[in-house]
Amino acid sequence: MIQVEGLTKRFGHKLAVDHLSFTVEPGRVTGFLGPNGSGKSTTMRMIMGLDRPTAGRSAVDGRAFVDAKAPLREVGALLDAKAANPNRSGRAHLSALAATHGIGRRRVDQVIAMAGLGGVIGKRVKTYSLGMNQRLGIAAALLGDPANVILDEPVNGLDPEGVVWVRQLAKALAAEGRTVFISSHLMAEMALTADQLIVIGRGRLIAKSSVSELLAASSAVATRVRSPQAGHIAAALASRDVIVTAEGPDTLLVSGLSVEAIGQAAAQRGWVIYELVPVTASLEEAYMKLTDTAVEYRSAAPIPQGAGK
Amino acid sequence: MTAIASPMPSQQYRSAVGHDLTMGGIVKSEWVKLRSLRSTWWCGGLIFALTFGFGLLVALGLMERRRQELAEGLVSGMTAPDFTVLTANNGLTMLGQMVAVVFGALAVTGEYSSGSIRSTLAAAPRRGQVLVAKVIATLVFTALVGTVSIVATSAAIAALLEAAGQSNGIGPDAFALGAGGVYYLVVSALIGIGLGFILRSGAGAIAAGIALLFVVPMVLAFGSGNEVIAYILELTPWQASQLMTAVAPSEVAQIGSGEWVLGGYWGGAACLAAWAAAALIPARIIFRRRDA
Repeated sequence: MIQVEGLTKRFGHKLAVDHLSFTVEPGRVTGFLGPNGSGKSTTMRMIMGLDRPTAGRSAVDGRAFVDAKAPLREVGALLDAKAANPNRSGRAHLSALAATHGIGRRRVDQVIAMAGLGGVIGKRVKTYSLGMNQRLGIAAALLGDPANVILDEPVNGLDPEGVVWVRQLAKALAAEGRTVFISSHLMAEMALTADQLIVIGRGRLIAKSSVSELLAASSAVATRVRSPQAGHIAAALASRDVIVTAEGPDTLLVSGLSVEAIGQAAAQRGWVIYELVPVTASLEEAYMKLTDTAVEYRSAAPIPQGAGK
Repeated sequence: MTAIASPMPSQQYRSAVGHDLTMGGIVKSEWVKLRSLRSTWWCGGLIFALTFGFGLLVALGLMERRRQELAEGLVSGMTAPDFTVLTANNGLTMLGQMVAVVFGALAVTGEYSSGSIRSTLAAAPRRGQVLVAKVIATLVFTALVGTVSIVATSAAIAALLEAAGQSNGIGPDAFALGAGGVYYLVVSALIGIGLGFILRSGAGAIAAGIALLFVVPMVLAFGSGNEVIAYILELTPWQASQLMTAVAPSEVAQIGSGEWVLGGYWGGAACLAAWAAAALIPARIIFRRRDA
C-alpha cells in the first residue's frame, strides 16, 4: 500500500506537486494519470526518496521508503528507461542490484526470461533499443519480487506486443495481492489496464475514482437526431427533463430521453428520421474535460492535414 | 447501515526472494558495478602500465648515469639503499594519481550521466551507505592495482640491478615506501569520488581533481620563495605524498623531521587522510541533501 499525504514539491517558483494526498491500495492496478508535466514523475520520485518533498510525506506499507528494511523486496520501481549504465551489460546491471539483497542468480535469470531479454542480456545496454531498455527496467523492478510495484510510463517505446505484455503483467501482479501503481498520460491505455484512477493536473489532484465511475460521471449521454422536421421534433420533445440543442439545421442533440423513447415517439407521430445515434463521451473526452484547465503545455494550433505533402 | 470492510487482501504480499538489505550487500553491489565496466580495467591496466613503464625508464636512466659517475670515480656505488622502490614509486604516484582521480570521479559521475543512480538508490535508499560502499569498493580496487603495480615494477628494477651486478636496491624502508605509494593512489581515487559527488559532472570533477593534485602544487612551487606559500605547498596532497613515497623514513630519522612542516612519513599520511576527508565529508552532505 502506498500513501501520500499533503505531498508538495517546489522547484524554484514552480509548484510541481501541490498538496497531493491519495492512497494506492493493494490487489488492484491503480493508474496515475495526467498530462505531461503534471507532476506524476516527481510524485513517484518523492515516494522513492529520490526527491525531497518541500512539504508532506509518503509511505510504503506504513513507513517512508528510505526506512525500508529490504527496499527491493518492498518496492520495485521503473522510474526512467535510462536507469542503467550504457557501458554495462544488462545482466551486470541486474546482478549488481541483486547483490544488495542477496538475490540469487536463479531469480536474475527468472526476470530476464520474464522480460524476454534472453537474447541481449549479455550485450552492453548502449546497444539496446528504447523498448529493450524499458524491458530491462521492468525486469529490475521485479527483481526483488516486491509487494509494491511503481511503473512510470512503462509502455513508452514498447511495441504493441510489449504494451499488451505490460498490461497483462500489471493485472497479474495485482491479482497476486501486490500494490501496482502505473503512471501514464494516455487515458485509453489506463482504461484497459487500471481498475482505479488517480488523475492529476498541474500537480493537483483532479479525481480519484474507479475507471467506470469516472466514465459515468463525465459522460453526458445524449442522442443525435437528424431529421428534416428537426424544429418540429425539438418542440415536441423538449420538457423539464429533456434538453434539446440544435447541432445543425437538421440535427438535434437530445439528452434526458433514451434512444428507444425517441424512436417510439417518432413511430407514433410519423416523423421522418435520417439518423438516430446514441452519443457517449469517450474516456478520452472525459479525461480531456477533467484536465482541461490543468494542461501545462498545449499545442498552439493543429497542423493542417496533408501539409507539406 | 452496517460497516463493510474494504476489499483488501487479508494478508500483505511477501516477497519470496533475497533477504534484508545489508552493508555487505551494498559493497558487493558496488564491486560488481566496478568489475562490470570496461573503463575499470582500462584504468587498472593504465596504472600498471604507467608505473611499470615509467619506473623502468627512470631506473635505466639513473643506472646509466650512475655507471658514468662510477667510471669517472665520482661515486662509490648505489647511494640510496632503497633505490628500487623509490624509483618504482615515480610512475605510481606522478602518473597513477591522474588515472586514480579520474577513476574515482567517473565511478560517481557515471551514475549521474547514465541515470543508474536511480537504480542504485531504489535498491539502497540510504545514501550514506551507498557512499561508504563506493569508497570501500574503490579503495579495494585501487589498493590491489597499486600493490600489483609497485610489486611488479620493483621486482623488474631489482632484477635489472642484479643483472648489472649491483645490489637489488631493496632497503629497510622498501615496504613503507611501497605502502606509501599505494596509499597515495587510494587517496587520489577517494578525492575523485568526493569531487564526483560534489560536482556530479565528469568533466568538472576530473578538471578539479587534476587541478588539485597536479596544477596547484606546480603553480605554488613558483612562489615557494615566499615562506607562507612554501608552507601551503607542503600541505598539498602531492607534497604530503612525497614524505611517504620519495623520502625513506630512515633518512628522515637521520636529518631530523624538523625539515618538514608535517614531520615525516606519518605526518604525510595524516595530511593525505585529511584531504580525503575534506573531499568526502562535503560529498556526504551534498549527496544526502540534493535530489538524485
